[in-house]
Formats: sequence, structure tokens, C-alpha cells
Amino acid sequence: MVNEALQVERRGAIWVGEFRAMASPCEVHLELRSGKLAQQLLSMARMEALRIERLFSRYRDDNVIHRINEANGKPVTVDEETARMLDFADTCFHASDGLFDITSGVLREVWRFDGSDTIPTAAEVEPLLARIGWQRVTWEKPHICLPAGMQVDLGGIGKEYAVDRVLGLLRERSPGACLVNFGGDLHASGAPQSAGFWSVGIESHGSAGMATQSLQLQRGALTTSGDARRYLLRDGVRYSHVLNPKTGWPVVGAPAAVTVAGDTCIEAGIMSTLALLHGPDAESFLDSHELHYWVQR
Amino acid sequence: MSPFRQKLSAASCALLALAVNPAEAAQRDVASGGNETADWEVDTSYLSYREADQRVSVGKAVATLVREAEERSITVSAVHDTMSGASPTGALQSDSPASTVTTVSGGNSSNSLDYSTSEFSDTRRQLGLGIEQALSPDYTLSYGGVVSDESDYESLGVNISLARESANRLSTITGGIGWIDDSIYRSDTGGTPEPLGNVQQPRPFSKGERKTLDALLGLSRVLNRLTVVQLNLSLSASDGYHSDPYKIISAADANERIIANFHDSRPDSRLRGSVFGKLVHQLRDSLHSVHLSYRLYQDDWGISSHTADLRYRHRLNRQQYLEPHLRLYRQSAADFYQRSLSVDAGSNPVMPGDSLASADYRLDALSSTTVGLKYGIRFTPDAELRLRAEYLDQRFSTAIFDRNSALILQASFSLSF
Amino acid sequence: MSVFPSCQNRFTAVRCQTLLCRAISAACLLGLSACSLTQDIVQVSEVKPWQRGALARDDMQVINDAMEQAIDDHVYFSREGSTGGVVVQGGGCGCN
Repeated sequence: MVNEALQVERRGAIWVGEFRAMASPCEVHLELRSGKLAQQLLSMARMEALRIERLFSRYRDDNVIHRINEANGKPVTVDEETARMLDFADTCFHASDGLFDITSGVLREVWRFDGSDTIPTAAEVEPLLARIGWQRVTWEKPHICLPAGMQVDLGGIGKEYAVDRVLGLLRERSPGACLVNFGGDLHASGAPQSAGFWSVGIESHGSAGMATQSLQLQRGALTTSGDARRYLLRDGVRYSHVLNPKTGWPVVGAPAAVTVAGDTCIEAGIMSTLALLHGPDAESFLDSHELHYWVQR
Repeated sequence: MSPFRQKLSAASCALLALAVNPAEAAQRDVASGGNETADWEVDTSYLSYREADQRVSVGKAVATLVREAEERSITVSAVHDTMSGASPTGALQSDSPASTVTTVSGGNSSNSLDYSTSEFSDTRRQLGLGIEQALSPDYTLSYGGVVSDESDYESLGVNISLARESANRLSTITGGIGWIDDSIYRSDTGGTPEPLGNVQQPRPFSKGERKTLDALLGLSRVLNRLTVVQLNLSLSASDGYHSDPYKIISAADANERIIANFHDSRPDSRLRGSVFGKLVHQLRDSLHSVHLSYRLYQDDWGISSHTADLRYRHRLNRQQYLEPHLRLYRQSAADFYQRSLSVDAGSNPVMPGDSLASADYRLDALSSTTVGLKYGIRFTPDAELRLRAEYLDQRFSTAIFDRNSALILQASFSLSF
Repeated sequence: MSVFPSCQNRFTAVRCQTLLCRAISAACLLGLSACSLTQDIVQVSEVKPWQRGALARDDMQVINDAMEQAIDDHVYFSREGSTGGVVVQGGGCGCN
């Protein structure tokens, strides 16, 4: 293929496009006969993923996130799409009683989950708490005003949003079934005719020999949150990369991975993230919301 | 559903219900209208085929237009050939100075006895239509037709085939049949001469009609991620006029002095069968690929042949490739092939017992070697140019013209939009 | 919930290749029963036939240039005694 960034291959009746976006391997599966339509749709999917990455990446200095974070206490007017993201984050913050908070990113200044045993001290963590808390943010659509020193990070829902969004675009244009999988967060529009279902393997992060579980997905979203590969280990204590925005410390007793099914990727993503934040009570939290889930501890 | 999930669901609906944004609008142009999207591809090609010594030269222009949609693709093709030259008839060369028998170009029919070549000039037009229709995820039906017309030949062919992909998509089995109805005649007389009739007293024989039924059973299979193999079995049965109205066989004595010249005479049916195998393999860890094929052919005229074809596509980069090509072909002679008819002690031609005789060099034992090189360049994902040069060398066992060579040059351009 | 019928053993997991990626991979694997019970560091080593990446390329098609195929068939049809075998034949010609 001419475009090296997008690898397209045919697996039986399914066209699969692979590319990288949002620091993740991304896959789009389309059940289509026409290779040209597949090529067009896959390239459109990649462009949309990159567009959303540009929009919400905290590593760029030319997007709305940068403007909000660098406003130094001044109000910033945002576009409609960002406004809807902030609305969504606002709803999640209030509904989760503050557990889901897009301002908690500043904790990364002291918590670096690089596989080392470098644990910050309480004195280092404590001052950060004053810079965390969505309730301190003035959000009056379309104006947002962050107190100086605070930051927002939409990375926690950006990828899930991109998955839903790309699937929505594909669903309008593709006559066949589609599945979008960005770094393990996936959403399918319908079952492929050829097989009757999408086979989805839940990768095991447990000990050796643990079976990989398989699901037959017909439609809907699946997301997985976990800390299997991002944690700190010190004195035999495993520090999860899931940080409680209220305490500034990692959640104790969090599962290694939580996979949640939902109607959309953003909903499932919020639920799997919140489940992790509930630590040892992840299962009961998920049960209380009558969700289909798979927990690995 | 818990109140929490209801709130979440409502919020996600609000988020995802966002109207079209500018970036998306730009993309809409690319893939407008979902399954309404149709793709067009135009393939044009010009080929020049020139034999040494101005024997035969052919200019062939081909244009195909493909409309590919999700469930169906339609291919329309047009071919225009211009042919001219002096083709060997099979007759021995007379001792008298060469002058030729004129056919299509007409006019200067000569009383000379040299019938060894036949001058001709003709054009052929061919139109084809092919439709490929997906019946289900597994079955694809293809059907089409071809009409072809030149001053001494009309042909009408239809074909239909059904392909079934296995559930695991690793193998495809194809069955197809074709029906061809041909009319063959001399452009000067509008009919065919009586087989084995004396050339100087030609008697009309028939308007040459021939019907052919072709059947093909094919299996292609993915062996591994780098290799595909294909196996075809095909049979072809034809009935009707099979002689060549221009070909001539001489009766000559031991010194090759021509006693008389007779028209070509071949059986009125032919049954052909072949086994064709092909292997397509991508060289490990590279973008280069190899196409290797072999065909074993046999017919009830006594011709059996072996054809081996090897192409190696060397990708220079993502846009360009070079493809060397080698083709080797060898056939045995038809049972009724003779260089010339013998004569008895009284200088009377010895006519064959089964009344079949042809000196057409293409029915002689022969071997062909083709070497070629193709270069392809993709200017954009949708535009490709291909240039090809091939050299064909043929050696005949006993035919009067014991060698033929030809240079084939071809330029093709395809464009998708 | 009808979204997830019972799990069956007809699947293969495609492993995420990066350390950061989340825990799910998806693929449409069309009824191949090849269960991988591998550790995190063990990649699937067997080449699965469905990994047809290269095979989708133009130059890996059994007939990769139908027009050239037809032209060559025509050239050799008019210069040799045997023909056919590759595709169902089209129309003939009175080639001299």
C-alpha cells in the first residue's frame, strides 16, 4: 500500500486497517467486498482518529487543551466539540461523586509509573491536591475558567470518544459490519455475515498459563482498564497507576484489569475506570450497576 | 438501569450526537454516499507485435472500463487490431521468382505458382462485456460475452462461471463454461475452399461454421501467508470447420519440386484438455514476488505441449517494479501435419488415407522461448503506467519457414477514479 | 444480554504488541479453532493462514493483470498449436 502509515490487509471477507494513533495500535475491521471502498473508509477512519488526537492531546501546544491549561486563570472559549466533552466530563464527575476527575492529571508530576520503585512522599503529594478538583473549575458553556496551576486532561476519555466517533462515521458509509479497536477499546456496529460474530480475545495479564478468554461480540462496546503493565513496586507493595483524585494516592486492591461491556465505548470506558477506582469493591460496584464485566485480579 | 448509568447514557448520547464538523465534511467528499460509492477504472493499452522479415505485424489497442461497486462489478472492453504482412501458408516456395498471392488487399491476383506466403491486411474489432455479481458472501457469479469481427472471421462467445469461497476463505473453487460460435471464410470468396482441393481449381466448400464448448474447473488455495496455488482442469470440445482457408500444402517430389498445391484439410472436431498449475509466492521478508506456472496440454489431433512461465516481480520501491519474464513452450506435431505431400512414381500426389493434411507451421513440432521485461510505475495510488518488451523466438521442426521471431512492445496505463 | 452469547473455543487472540496498550484485541477469525495459551512475552509463532496481509496485494493475485493475460493468450493462440487452461475462453480470431 502506498500509505505506509495505514496498513491494509484482507483477512477473508474482512478488510483490516492498522495504524497508530493516540499512542496505541489501532485497528479497523470492515466486512466489505470492494477493496477501494475499504481503502477509502480505512483512510477516513485514520484521519478522524488523528483529528481527535490533535484536538485533545495534552502534548501539543496548538490545541484547545493547551489554551485552557495555559490560560493562567483567565476564561477560555471552547468549540462545540470540546464543550460537549467538558459537559460529559462534568456529568461523570458529579455522578461519580468526584472519583472521575479530568483535573487529576497534575498528579503525574510526582507519580511516574516507569516500573521503578520511586514512590513520592506524602509531602510531595499533599500540595497537589489543592490543584485538583473539577468543582473549582468554572464551566459555563462555552467558557471555561481554570484556577491558575490547574490542568485538564481529556486523555482518559479521548480514545473511547474517538472509537465511538469513528464507528459512527463508518456505520453511515459502510454497507457491512464494522469494528473499531483503538488500543483495546473497541466498538462494533454489527456482526459480520461471514462468521456471525466478532471474536474478541481478552488478553490475560495474569500468571503464565492463564487462558485467554474469548468473547463473541455481535455489537456494542468493550473497554478494559487495568494496571497490569503500569505500576510501581516497592517493599513488595504494588502501587497501581490508578490514582484516587481525592487522596492523590494509588487505589489499593485494584484489579489487574477490568473489562466492561456497554452500548458505547465512552460509557463502558467510564465504568471500567470507575471500577478500578473502587479497588477491592470493583466487582460489587459493577454488579450494582448491572453491567457485564470480566475482572482479572 | 441504575440512575448513574442513565445519566451516563444521556451524556454520551449528547456527546456523540455532535453534528458534522469541518474535518468530517472534507472526508465526506472522499467516501460520499456509503454503499452508493462506485469506483471506475480505465485500463488502456497499446501493443505492437512485429515479426522479423516483415512477416506479420499487429497493432493492438485495448481499452477496458471497469465499474466496481460493492455487490457487482461490470467490465466493458474494446479491442482494435490492425494486422498486415505476408504470412507463410505452408506451401513450398516455387523456383520461380517470388510473387505473392493476394488476399484481402485484393487486386493483383497472380498466376505465379508461388503460394508460400499470403499477403494480408485486416482489422479486427472486439467488444466484450463481463459482469461479476456477488450472490452471497461465499458465492460469486460471473458471466459475459464477446463479439469479434474481421473481414474473414466472426466470433460470438458467451461464458458463465460460479466461484465459491470456502468458509475459512482459504480456498476458492470455480466452475465455468463457455460457448463460442465462429464463422470462418476467405475474405476474397466469402466461403471456404474444399479441403485438399487443388489451389488452382478451387471449389467452394462451405461457409465455415464452428461451435466450441469450453469447461473449466479451478481450485485456488492459500497455502500460507506468502503462498497461493491454483490448479485448473479444462476441456474444450469443438465441432465444425477447423481447417484454415488460407493454408496450403504442396505435393512435391524428392527434390522439392512442386507438383501441385492443395488446400489445408483438418478434422471436423477437436477435443482439447489441459491441466494448469500456478504458484504465486512472496519472497520471505521482502516485497518481491514470483509467479510460476506450468500447463500440460493434449488434444485429439496428437498435439501435446508443455508450457512453463516464470515471472519475478522485483519491487524497486513502493511505486516502481521491474518484472523479468521467461516462458518456455514445446509441442509435438499434429498427427496429420506434413511438410509436404509426397508423389508416386508417376508424379501423382499421394493423398492421405484419412484425407487430412496440413503444413501449417503452428501444427509442426515446435519450441518457443519468450524473454521479457516489464516496468511498472505508480504515479499516484490511482494511476499506473506499465511498459513491457518481450522477444519471442520459435523453432519449427520441419516447417518450410523453420524459424520465427517477434518483438512485442506494450505500453499500458490504468487510472481509477 | 444478547450482545454476548456464550463463549466458545473457536477463536484466536491477537496480542497487543505494546506495553501501554490495554488488554483487548479483536479480530475476525472466521472459525479457525486455534486457541493460544501464551504468556505475555510469547508471541504467536505459528503463521496462521488467515494472516493474508501480503496476499491481498495486487501482485499476489493469481491473475494480476487480466488485460495482459488476455493479450498474451491471444498472441500465443495465434502462434502455437495449443491454447486455453487459464480462464474460460473468449472469442476466437482468424489469426494468420
